Amino acid sequence: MIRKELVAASAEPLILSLLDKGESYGYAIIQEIKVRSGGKLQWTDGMLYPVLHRLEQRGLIKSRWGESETGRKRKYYSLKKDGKAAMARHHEQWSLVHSVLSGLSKEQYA
Amino acid sequence: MFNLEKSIAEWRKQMLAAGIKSPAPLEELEIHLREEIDAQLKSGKVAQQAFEHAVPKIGPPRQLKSEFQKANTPTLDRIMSIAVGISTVLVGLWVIGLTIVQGWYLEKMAGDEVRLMGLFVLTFLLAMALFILGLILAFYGGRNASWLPNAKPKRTHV
Repeated sequence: MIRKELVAASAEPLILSLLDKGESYGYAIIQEIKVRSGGKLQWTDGMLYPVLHRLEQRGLIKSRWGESETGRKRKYYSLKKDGKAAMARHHEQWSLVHSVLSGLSKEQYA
Repeated sequence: MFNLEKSIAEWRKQMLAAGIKSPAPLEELEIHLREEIDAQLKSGKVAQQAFEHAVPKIGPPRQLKSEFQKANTPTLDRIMSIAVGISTVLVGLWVIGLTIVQGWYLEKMAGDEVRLMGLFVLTFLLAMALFILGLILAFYGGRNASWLPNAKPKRTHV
């Protein structure tokens, strides 16, 4: 099981990266995380929304109310320019951590 | 007999009782709950099973309330920026006040009027500079606090 600190730390870069692919809404974001992680990244569904609100307050994403296929109200989120820049910074930092860990792992088994 | 709409209304009451009073977050959470219930119904569950499966996934109301409160509280950076801005404005106003008082005594003070005038002008310029700086900091700090170094990001729970 993934440590909750890692799950929490990865929430923002994951959300920004998903929204970079296009506009989405809360339930779809949760489902995509589950599918892409093979169910290993366990988020509490409701906890996504405070994170989305914080990202919106920081000016990284924006929202609009729309309708689902069944006519139900739905809030859609999309990435803003500042959000794209923040996402790029996250990618840089996570890539650095990944490359150091990979390097160490290769040395261990070399 | 299980009534889905009644159960959802009861869930809403529980969320309100736990302190999630703001309409926007509660509406989003309810929409999410309904989407999860729909998915469970499509997978073959009956309404009661779908509801009982969906509710725990939303999360504990108290923890949600705490996270939403964090999201609505201005960051420390912004508070500090606004506080610095207001303090600078107050210092500027105080110095302007001193300058005006100095001006009143210029005629009465004997001695070097040139030096006194220089002190008057310098004090006044300093006060105006501080005042303008304070206004800029208060305005900018309220909008964007990224100028503060080493600001700690808020801890996220997901």
